[in-house]
Amino acid sequence: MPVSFRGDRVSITRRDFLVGSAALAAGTAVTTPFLLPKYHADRRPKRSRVAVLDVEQYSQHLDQILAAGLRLFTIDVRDKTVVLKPNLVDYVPGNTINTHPLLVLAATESFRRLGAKSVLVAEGPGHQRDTRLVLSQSGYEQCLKDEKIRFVDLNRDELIRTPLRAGYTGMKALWLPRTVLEADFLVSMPKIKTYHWSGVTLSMKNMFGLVPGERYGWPKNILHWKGIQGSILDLCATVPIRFVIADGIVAMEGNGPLNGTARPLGKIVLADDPVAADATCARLMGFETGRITHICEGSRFLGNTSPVLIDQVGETVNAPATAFQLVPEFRYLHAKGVWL
Amino acid sequence: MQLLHQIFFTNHTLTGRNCRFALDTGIRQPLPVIYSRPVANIFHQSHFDWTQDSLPFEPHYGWSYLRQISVVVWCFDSHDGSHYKVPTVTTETIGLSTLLAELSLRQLPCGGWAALASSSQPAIEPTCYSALALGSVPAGDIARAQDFLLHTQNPNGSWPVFPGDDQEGGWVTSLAVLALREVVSAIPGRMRGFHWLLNCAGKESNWFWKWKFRTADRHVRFDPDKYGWPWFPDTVSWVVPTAFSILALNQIPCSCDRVENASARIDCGIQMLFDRACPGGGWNAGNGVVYETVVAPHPDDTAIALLALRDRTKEPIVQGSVDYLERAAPTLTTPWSLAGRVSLWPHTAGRLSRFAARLLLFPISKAPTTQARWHWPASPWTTAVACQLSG
Repeated sequence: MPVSFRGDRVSITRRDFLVGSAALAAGTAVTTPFLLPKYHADRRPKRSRVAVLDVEQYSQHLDQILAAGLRLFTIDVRDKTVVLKPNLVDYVPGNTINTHPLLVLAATESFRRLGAKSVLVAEGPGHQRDTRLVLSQSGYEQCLKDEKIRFVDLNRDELIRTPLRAGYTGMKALWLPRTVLEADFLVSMPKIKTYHWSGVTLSMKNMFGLVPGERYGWPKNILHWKGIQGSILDLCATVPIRFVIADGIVAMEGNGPLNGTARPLGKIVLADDPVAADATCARLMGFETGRITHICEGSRFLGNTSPVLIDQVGETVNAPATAFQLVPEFRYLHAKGVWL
Repeated sequence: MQLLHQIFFTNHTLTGRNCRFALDTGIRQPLPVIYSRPVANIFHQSHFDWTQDSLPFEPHYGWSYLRQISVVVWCFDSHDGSHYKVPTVTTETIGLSTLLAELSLRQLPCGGWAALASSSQPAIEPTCYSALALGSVPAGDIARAQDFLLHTQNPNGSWPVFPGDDQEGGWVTSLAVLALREVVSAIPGRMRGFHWLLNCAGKESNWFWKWKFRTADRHVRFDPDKYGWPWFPDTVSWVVPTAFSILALNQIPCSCDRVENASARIDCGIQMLFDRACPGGGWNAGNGVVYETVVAPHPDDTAIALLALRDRTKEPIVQGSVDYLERAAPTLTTPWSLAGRVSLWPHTAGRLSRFAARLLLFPISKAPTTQARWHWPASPWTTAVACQLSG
């Protein structure tokens, strides 16, 4: 039966109506996923706090420096289990790949003084299957043993199937280590580095170490296939980072994360917001934060990047006189006005 | 009880490490009578946290000492009546016995083993290593381990990485097939495992991804025509799963039907291993050159790849990789990498001394003190490998 509008000018049949409705529904179904947010909850703090500390070298005084830095924040870890997650990928003689063990020791001491019930170090190296060899060669083994700090190999920890709280990769769930999921206070301790697959590897990318190699392989190839930037966001949405201590005393530029060159930066970055921490680190490297996909997208629901929303304490954040070198594919990250 | 009294004159100090030193160096001093504990108490304590300031039990009665007793009993039984002058009490035999005892101790009620001593979640990889180790020297409950493996097999023939895992299967399928090699009741399951392995391939075997890796994605230098096995389905090939799959498929009986393409698949995997070798010798996970930069090899990956290439000893890549391992050996201090190194005995006949075995066992001998404090007290994972290889 014909349907008429405005007299006899426009008329559609029932079939036309049904076809049109179906087309509209299909179009909506296709476009909606691109318009709806891919995260489950907006976890941005109203304000974030970042402290940049000037530290010229690794020394036994790091614990005092770090303790002073932590006093700039309101941190309550009393009777809590603190998990420190350093960046411990592999060991290549002469390359500054990993978070320095002295900084991890200093962090442990500081959190113990703040009343933490226990402080442990946990990591699942992404390249080397022999975790203990990485610990031994990178100087961690002796340090942790001397200070009686427990270490957990996240590549072989007990696993719990964990639904992801964001949908950037399309993965519904990941098997993640019990140690991290049950921690009260997770501290990401990245090495400030460039990364040939995503531009930078900072506190958010550092979460790749949570993904167990025993289940997903070495390197954590599934995250590359699903998209590195999306994987970073899915992981950070699922396992919240409570604090960041970024090692930029000697950073890395160029062909990171393994074969770049050392870049003395002389900074430690502390933050109570991983997105603000990474944005600050990126500025210190001479990069435009808005061009780094996971930082830009993370600012929608995980944390703040706008200087207006970040309380900057400690040293001033200035772009370096010469920006960090990058592989050609990521040179667009360089901020304007920075010498390349 | 007579044996226990004899042990007192063999041990030097409290710890297992010193016990071995004592045996090695011939030092024999009496210990206090306090060590005369009933044998029934052996292994009464399985898990504790060494990170605490004080030990959770009275140290003189801890299982670590009693464990040493079992070791020495084993030696004395072999040389009844002349134990104090036995020249064959070596680090290796004591280490092997200790490790087997350790493995039995660590077996979970379900029959499997966890990767870490602190964990109660069984996993297939350490269970396979343990089953292989216990199978070589009958000890412990090997039948229960094999049952565990049989019952965890997925309906599609693969094995999960651990019970309860998703059922798509994983790289440990090749290990499970190897671990069940002498179990008659496992023949149907193993055949399904072989078929799953033959149907599983790195994603680069697909024409589309081949094209992508040849044209748009060329930062990692490799030939996508040479593919092996992935860690789990729908990802690309990597060295370790490929090497284990080659080892497993080499065990296919010649007369089996529907596996006639096995040799071609093995050859393709071997070519993939050659293609992914690091330019200076050795292997890492599978990226020899990235962004025109040579990536360093790893000892364990190299050892596992060489095991799969045992029949290709004349190949320059194999020779170069053995040379790399020889160079790396003095710097290795951890059981896992050293286990890989020692595993190449047949590969490097005439080139490898028993020194390597001592290197392997020495760090393991420290397990009750240092490793335990680290949350991996003689982890079944490394212990099983070391046990099998040293045996």
